[in-house]
Amino acid sequence: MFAAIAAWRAQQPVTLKPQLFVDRVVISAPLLVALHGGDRFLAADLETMRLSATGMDDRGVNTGYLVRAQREVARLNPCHEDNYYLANGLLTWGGAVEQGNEVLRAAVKCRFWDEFPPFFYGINLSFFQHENEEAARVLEIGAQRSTQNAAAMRKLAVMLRAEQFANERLALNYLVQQRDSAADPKLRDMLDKRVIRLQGLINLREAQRRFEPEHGPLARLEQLIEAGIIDGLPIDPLRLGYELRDGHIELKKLKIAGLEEQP
Amino acid sequence: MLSSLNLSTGLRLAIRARFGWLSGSSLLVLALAAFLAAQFSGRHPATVALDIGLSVIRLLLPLVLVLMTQELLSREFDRRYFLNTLSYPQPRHRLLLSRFIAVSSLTLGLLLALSGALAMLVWLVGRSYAQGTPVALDHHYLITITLMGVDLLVLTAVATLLAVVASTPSFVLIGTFGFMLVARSFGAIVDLLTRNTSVVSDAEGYRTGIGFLTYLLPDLGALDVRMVTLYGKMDLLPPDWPLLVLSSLTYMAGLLALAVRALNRKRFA
Repeated sequence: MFAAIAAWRAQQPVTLKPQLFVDRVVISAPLLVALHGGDRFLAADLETMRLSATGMDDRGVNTGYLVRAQREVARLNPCHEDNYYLANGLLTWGGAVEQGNEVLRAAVKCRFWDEFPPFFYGINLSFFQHENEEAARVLEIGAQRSTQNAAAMRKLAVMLRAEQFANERLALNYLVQQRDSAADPKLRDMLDKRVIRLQGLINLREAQRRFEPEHGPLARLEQLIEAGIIDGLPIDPLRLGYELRDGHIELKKLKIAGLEEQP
Repeated sequence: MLSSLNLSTGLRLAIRARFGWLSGSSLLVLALAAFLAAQFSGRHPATVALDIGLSVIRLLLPLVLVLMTQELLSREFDRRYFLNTLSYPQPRHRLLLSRFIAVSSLTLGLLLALSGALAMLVWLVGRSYAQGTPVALDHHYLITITLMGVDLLVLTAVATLLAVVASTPSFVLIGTFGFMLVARSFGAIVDLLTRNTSVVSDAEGYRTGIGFLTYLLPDLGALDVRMVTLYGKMDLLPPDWPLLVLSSLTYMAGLLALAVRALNRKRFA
């Protein structure tokens, strides 16, 4: 009887179930606490290990996962140093600006002694979101906490308030420095791609500056090639590209929640 | 005289139940976990090693404590050793309290040994990389360990009560771990549900439901003040910690009184 049923079951054709959209699972923070024996720190540590060990491919497929995982870690233990550092490096500079900044905001609040989260957050605010007033305020918080960099951060805040700062150069310098101080070769590789992306932006803005006195305001990026100022649009290693917004050339942002617009 | 004899009997029972082997393997697990965890952190290996190490201690010691309680108290009724022990001229509660003291001193001793080993390990890990925010292994560490000891005392009292009341030894394990899980996590869950309400559809209802537990259980999750030692900042200590410790100790005394009462009324068949 059993053999007959087994044989019949083996005869059945395998039906391929339609695969639902499969992504990495991130469990919400309250449940994680219960699953780790009521230990929120253990949960935060293990989740950070998981996300830092997860491979990331270049098309932003896993950025959604990182966004969700890092948000949960920031809820479990907002003081976690690896988490805010990775969020700044991978999310904010990988296109998910608002989500990365959320993690940084939690770190600024929790790590009341640490000067680096306000520094990162302030730079991001001014560079990506052009909120110079808020950026200067955050940088002054950083300056109050700092022992060695207080003067530099205050100066930066003052310059941001005066809005006379070519912020992409500053961003490049600090990204290069972050890359060079990374010990992990994988992280260095990922940051390197972001440096190349930013270098492309700087080249484009330089070209725009040379273009506009002669030909008037720029309407499309391709005009730069047609005018012969650059040979071709710079290649973005993250494959997100650049766009013209209100007459400024900007890094294209990753659309997280809705449909993704891949160039 | 008789009570010290009782205590030494308890300790000898524990040694016979391979307490040494148990503590040696916990030490090994702790060292492995902390050392491996440090490899996963780019920016603060010593902090992660300390963090994971404290978590491992907090999970392993309740297990040791439950196994010892099973050995020292449940076996007493299971294997009818009481026919012998209760024939001495002493009240019943003295037997219970001396066994409780034996278990808790073994647990706290192991806690001290493990935390000492962990401190050494973290120091070794931290030597290779200068962190922006170093861990504080001085009095900050002692405070964290002390409050962890209070947490373990409450759990020992729970295990003692269950060993007297329950009819099978395995219920001591299940009951103590269930109590531990609920008492350690409800505070954090209430806190998280307050801040993000999108997790469940009726967050407010859940919150009041879980918040009701505050009146039934001690908040063992709040006794976990490891941020003080992880980041070396005294300000991270909750300001109401004396009340917290006092309420936990009161809870422990209440549980012990219940256990004594249960043992005095127990009818041995």
